[in-house]
Amino acid sequence: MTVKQIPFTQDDRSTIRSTSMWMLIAGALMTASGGYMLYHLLDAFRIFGLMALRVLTLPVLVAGGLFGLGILLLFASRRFSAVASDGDIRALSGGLRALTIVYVVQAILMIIGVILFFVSFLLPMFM
Amino acid sequence: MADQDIPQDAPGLARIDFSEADEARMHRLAWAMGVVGVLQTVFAGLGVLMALWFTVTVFGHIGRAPLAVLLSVVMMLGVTILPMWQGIVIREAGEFIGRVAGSDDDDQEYLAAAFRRLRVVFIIEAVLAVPLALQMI
Repeated sequence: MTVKQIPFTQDDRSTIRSTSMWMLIAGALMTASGGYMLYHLLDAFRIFGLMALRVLTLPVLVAGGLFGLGILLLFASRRFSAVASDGDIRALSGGLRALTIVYVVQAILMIIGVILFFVSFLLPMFM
Repeated sequence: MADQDIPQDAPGLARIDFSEADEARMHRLAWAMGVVGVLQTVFAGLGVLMALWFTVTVFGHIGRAPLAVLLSVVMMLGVTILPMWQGIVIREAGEFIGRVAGSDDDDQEYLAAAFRRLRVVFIIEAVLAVPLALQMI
């Protein structure tokens, strides 16, 4: 059986709805935290201009990453909420697309983190 | 273990008509969730071990400030156990999303199972984000 509108059961719909609600909460908290961090980093850029990037690269990446991933989660949550209400396959595909970006970015950051951890912390211990 | 809550031969199971691009994207999502899940579980697991070591060390001082010691132990364990649990559930959700892309039937059931795992992931995410947000206030 092939469907364009997915015939989710009532139970599945409520699961998807509550998943999208928690995604919305997590996304809102991440966006707010990232936005707040970026707002406070602006002062340094006002004073030192782009020179501030030399010492603030990591905080800018963390704040920007939190903000961006939070926005993507908000978008995914909106799409999944549409899936819960009418089982729309295009909304599901849009939500999964946003979630793919979130997890691929997280996976890349974690792999970089592991490499940095080994190079800067574990390797010197054995040399 | 992940298959336990999927009823076999349940009624109303459907193959969802995803495009090839969607299926390729879901494979990518499953891979990324697998990587994030495993790495998060391993590193949070190391954190749990360190928290346990901290617990053993700090219990020697429980007579001086019992409340402070208990609070710090609960905080340390919470901050490490929750991400470890989240990592395990992320990996499971990724596995189900991979099955949606990889199989031609039972897509709907696998998708529902993935959403059940994702709900737990985002509950933990929200719980862990609250202290960060409070710290900023």
